[in-house]
Amino acid sequence: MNSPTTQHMKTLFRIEWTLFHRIKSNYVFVVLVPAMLLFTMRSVQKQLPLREHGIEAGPLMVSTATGVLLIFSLYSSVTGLYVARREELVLKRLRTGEVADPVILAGGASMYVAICVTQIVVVAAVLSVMFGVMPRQPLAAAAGLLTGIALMTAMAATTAALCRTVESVLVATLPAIFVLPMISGVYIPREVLPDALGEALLFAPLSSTIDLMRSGWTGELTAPETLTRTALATAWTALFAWTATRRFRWEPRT
Amino acid sequence: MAAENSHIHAQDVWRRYGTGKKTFDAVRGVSFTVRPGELFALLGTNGAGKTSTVEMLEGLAAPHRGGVRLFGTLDPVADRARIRPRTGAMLQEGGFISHLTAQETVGMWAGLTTRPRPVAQALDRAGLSHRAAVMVRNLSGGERRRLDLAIATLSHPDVLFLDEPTAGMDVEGRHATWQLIRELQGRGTTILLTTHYLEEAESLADQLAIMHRGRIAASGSVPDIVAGHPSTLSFGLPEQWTAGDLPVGGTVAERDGRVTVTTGELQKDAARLLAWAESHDVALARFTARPASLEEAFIAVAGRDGGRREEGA
Ligand SMILES: Nc1ncnc2c1ncn2[C@@H]1O[C@H](COP(=O)(O)OP(=O)(O)O)[C@@H](O)[C@H]1O
Ligand SMILES: [Mg+2]
Repeated sequence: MNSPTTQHMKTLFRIEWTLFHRIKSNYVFVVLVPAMLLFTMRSVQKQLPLREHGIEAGPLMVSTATGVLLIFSLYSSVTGLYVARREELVLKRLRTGEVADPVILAGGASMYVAICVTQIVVVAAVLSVMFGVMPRQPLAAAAGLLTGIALMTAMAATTAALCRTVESVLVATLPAIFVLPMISGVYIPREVLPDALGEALLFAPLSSTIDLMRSGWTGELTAPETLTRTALATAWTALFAWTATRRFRWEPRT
Repeated sequence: MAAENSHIHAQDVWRRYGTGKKTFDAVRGVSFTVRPGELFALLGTNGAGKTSTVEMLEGLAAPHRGGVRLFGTLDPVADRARIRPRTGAMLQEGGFISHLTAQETVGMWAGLTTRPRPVAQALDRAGLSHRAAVMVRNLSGGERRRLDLAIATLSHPDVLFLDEPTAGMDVEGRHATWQLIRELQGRGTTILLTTHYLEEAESLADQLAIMHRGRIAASGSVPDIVAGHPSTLSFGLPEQWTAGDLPVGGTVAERDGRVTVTTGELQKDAARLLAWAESHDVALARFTARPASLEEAFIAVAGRDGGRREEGA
């Protein structure tokens, strides 16, 4: 476990960790944002006809929380991180050193991945207790979490490729922040939508992750369905990763 | 010289910015070779193409045309993993996380570098021990350049790229940095340095190239480069004589009783002049003969305003 790559990852993780603690308001966001979003979502979903679609509130909340945290806690932070480091020429400077390109990106993101995973695990545990539900397909949940993290990181790199400045991050992340949760069953379960639409939206980027997470607690997916969703999420991740590899810019535009 | 026994080699390299109709060739067919242990300076005004050239050798950008090699045979982009443990680089500017302290910054690079020297030692070498706990954004421009150099040399690299290492430094800082660079030279480090300070190139470089508008306008050692430019004879002439009486081939100018002869044949004209003075019993007051300076050579290729410009883009 002490290859140069491991050592580089550890170092970059530690640096982001140090920086994270330097800004005290980060603590508030890490705790407060998920809590607030959960309460808001809870009241919205109370209005939805869940029972007639046979959807359990607890597992639904787990998948919603996962989606929200992946987008807000991971995706938008990592996009901002990449753009900020690029504008300060830190990425370019790192590329003059021994760290490989993918490790530069993964190393910086790893701290935010750790935070996001912790948030999701804690929230899922709290919800499980609150609703008296236990995971029935831990593997599906794990697949959901892993694909979600990979997908959001790849999407962050692609978004960063489109941003010119730190200021434009806000605009560039808007589609993912507003549209993605709408079409991926994060806020409103796909079952509640008209049948054809709901089924078509299985192919939206984050839908598979959401399905997998919920099935982690309900056990509703069959093995082939689980595999299909894992494959779909992996395909999306590969698409974004490929785009990022081709389009990523390591230095600011002049 | 062949690429094989060199440390840095550029062969007719071109660098093109932009695509389609809006392209700009910042580097147009540059070739040079740096032997092991040599310090090669790329001297040029802002926009000459120095940074664009160095970035191709650092492997940060691929040439549009032509080839670059490090350590004889390695391609800076394709062989990046093999090259990096042996090189160090200092970008023209930036590259720091502004909310880290100097010490944390060196610590971070120590974690990313094979066989780094101790962090405290690196800070000490850069003269930044007393600034270790200061955040990078609060360091002065000169301190940041020194921190950058400390990072670039963290692992005793064989090849070092320094893009304007003393830009924005005060005289003291500049001399301290030159001292560090001379130490590295003494240890046999191969260095490619860019600068727009003539004095820096003149005092550090074994070989240098004057870059202008993407091309190398002149190259060689300082004496090589100035050799092609006219030398100057100057002296005071007693009142009864005028410049027209002098038996010299070069151009003669007279101002405030002092005569300046600009000549491509310093030795011949000096001999003629002294012989004439001897036979006419003329005392040439404060007679001096000097070859062209690097500054004159530089102005000749880069233009007068180009030679004067200091800071900028
Ligand atoms: N990213 C870029 N896009 C377009 N032109 C550029 C870019 N970077 C540099 N240039 C242009 O290329 C020329 C050479 O720049 P540079 O290599 O930075 O010169 P130097 O380092 O000698 O000051 C300049 O005219 C500059 O404006
Ligand atoms: Mg430059």
